[in-house]
Amino acid sequence: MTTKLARFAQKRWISSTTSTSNMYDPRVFRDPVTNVQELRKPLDSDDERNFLFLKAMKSDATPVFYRDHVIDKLIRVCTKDGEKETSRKNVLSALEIIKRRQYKAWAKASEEEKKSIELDPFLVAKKGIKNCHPLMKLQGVTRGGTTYQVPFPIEEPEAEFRAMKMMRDICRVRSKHGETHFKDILATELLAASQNEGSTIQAKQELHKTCEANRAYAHYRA
Amino acid sequence: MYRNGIRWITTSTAALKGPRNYVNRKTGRGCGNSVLSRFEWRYDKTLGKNFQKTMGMRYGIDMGLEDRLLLVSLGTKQRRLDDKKVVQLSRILEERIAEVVATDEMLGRLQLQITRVRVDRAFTQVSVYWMCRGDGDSEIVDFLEESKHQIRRRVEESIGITCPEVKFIGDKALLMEQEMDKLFREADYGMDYRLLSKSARVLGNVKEESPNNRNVPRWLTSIKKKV
Repeated sequence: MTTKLARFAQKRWISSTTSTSNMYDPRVFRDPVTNVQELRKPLDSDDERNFLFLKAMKSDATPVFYRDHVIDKLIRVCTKDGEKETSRKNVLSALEIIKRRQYKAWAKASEEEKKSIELDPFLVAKKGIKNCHPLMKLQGVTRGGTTYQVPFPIEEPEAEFRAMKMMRDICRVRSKHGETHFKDILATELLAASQNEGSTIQAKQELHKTCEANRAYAHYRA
Repeated sequence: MYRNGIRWITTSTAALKGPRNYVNRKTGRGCGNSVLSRFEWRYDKTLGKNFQKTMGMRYGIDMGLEDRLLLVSLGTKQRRLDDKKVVQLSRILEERIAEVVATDEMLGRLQLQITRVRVDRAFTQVSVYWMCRGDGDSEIVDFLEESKHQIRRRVEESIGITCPEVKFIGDKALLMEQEMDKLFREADYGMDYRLLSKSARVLGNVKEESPNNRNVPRWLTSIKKKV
């Protein structure tokens, strides 16, 4: 056994150190730009990106023009049984439905009202998800053998996820009841949420009420 | 027939294979040239020991193994206080530390508020919890880090015993409470939640606006009209 280990040590078959080099030399490569607004800006003549290379983009971030962080996350949250293509189809169809509805309303509206109607479904979805962010959550804390539901502050990514999860669950329940398809209900929910209405907003309010009912246990957090 | 039976018994019974019955050439169990990930710790440990021994024997350097073995065999004595003694010592040290903090000029300027003092079971460390208020906490932390040895020395002088290391830990309970209060104030509850929630009525939440339409008696109204 000792000879085997010595042989391993000599040949260095197992590496236990972190990698010391990378394919992308930090002196030569820079991160790619994934923000559409930043992409449209002209590049300064003094910018170092004129003289350096850019790293390859992640596969889930390309093409940039048709990608959005919130929509991608919503697609991931709505995925069921690994069928991401189906989920993407549903979500993008919902965005299409939103755009059609907004355009109809925009066509019928008067000149003053047209300015207040948002035609971009990505912005509508973003605003809806933002409105559904909960501010706190309930977490079980055990003190003296009893588990209490203690309100905790919530981080931004988790708040975003919980908002999407609430919306997804509501849409699934309704589509399972056979009202309409998932994409129609999702479009309706996103539009309503962007105006601070709808079932997801109510679910968020219910969560806040439950947290407020358990406010007396807030000092158990520590 | 007997020959086939005997061969079947020989090949199937595990006991007849001898002590290395975990080796199975067909499935590769127990044999192979790579170290599995769950055994990596064992490999690293053996490699370290082997390296140390080899270098020691090759270069004749005293690795201190004999001294280490001796010390390990002797062992070190550790105190083990029970809960009652822990509480008693914590209380005594809390009084002394509070006295020292109150007496010192610089510490008095910081307006330090000690919430709890805890002595560990082996009496090797005293944990002093002070209340964080958010503003100026970093300066307090720096100053306490600089002056903890001085505080310890003064505590020793006042008590007459050898005080363990003093460690100052910030108590963030107040900050957490303020944060949660802010969140409860800002959260969206939909309809008028106070009609539905009992704890809100008891604890209070948003500052209630003064009611504009109070029941004013008629005679007061007439007096106001006259004026």
